[in-house]
Amino acid sequence: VQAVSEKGWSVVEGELADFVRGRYPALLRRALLLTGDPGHAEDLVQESLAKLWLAGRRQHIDNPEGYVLRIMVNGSVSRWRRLRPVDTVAAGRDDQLGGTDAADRVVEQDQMWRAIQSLPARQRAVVVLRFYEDLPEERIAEFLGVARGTVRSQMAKARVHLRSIITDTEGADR
Amino acid sequence: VNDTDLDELLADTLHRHAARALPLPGDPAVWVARRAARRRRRIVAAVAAPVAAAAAFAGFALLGSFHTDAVLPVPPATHAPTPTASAAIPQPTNPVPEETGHSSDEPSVVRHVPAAGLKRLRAAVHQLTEPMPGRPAALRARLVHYQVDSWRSPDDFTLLVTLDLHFPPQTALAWNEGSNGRFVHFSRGPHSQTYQLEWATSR
Repeated sequence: VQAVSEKGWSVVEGELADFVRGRYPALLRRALLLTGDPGHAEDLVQESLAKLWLAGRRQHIDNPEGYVLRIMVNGSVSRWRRLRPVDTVAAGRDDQLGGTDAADRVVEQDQMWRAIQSLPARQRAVVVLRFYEDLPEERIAEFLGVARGTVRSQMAKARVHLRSIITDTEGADR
Repeated sequence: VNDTDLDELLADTLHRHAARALPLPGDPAVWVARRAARRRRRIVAAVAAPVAAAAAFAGFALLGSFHTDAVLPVPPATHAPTPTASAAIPQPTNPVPEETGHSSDEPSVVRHVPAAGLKRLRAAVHQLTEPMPGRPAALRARLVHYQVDSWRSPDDFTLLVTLDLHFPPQTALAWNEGSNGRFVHFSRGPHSQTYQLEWATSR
């Protein structure tokens, strides 16, 4: 699957190496959403790809993209569960949610980003898979290894949590 | 806020923040291959150590070679200074003059790491101040400290480094503003003088 130079690790070739090079930036973006931290994101991507790499030596991986996404999602849920950011309340904002000005939209998104990071790891994974990966409920359930109803309930809880934070901030601003 | 507005804001937010993730300079395939090899060694060691211990206990000396092959080598004590020991090492009295965009402050531990490796590390840190495709240049990049994290040979070792990095405002990177701790793996072939560096946030 891959060949490593006898001179060290200066050359890594093969199908998996090409996959890693081609998909690394996109995987890093996903990991940043799942972890909320650039350093943890790098760690999650490299660890997940290392697992893929080892698995690829033992067997052919038909869908490496799906394989590594599953590892990343489960890794983010299990490993980063105890590393939830404590900054759960957004900073003050200048206007109500729904403002049409571009600057307002950026403020809203910053506020929402902090709210997303305050979600429990599994809820955050569901939100990322649904709204970034655009996956349907059944595929999310497959990735997380849970029932479709669990995905639906996690999404509902996430919405309630996010809405409450946004509403609280709106109230504080008034 | 109705569900539609909330969902739209969620999607916009995720896509905007995802774009902030920029990879470190270098070849990710090399990092992953190296990390996979380390992971495999750990797995082999975890499996082999109890077996070898049981064999040694039973007096099967022949199986001892399995243990020595499988377990990760432990660096000599001199290659893994403790924080206390590193603090006791005097700072150089004649620092190298500062270069553009790169502080030349000597790190607090300077021993046993091959000079070629340190030269390569300093060059890599300095490169962070140079613009690269897909990554803005750091305003300042300084090597604050390093220590040996694991040592297999002069051709294969890992340093734990602390960098002080500063980026232009509104720049988001895989690096943090200010202090950054990273593991840097050094490797080179038996007949090569040039090290390959691999940056990672964990072992």
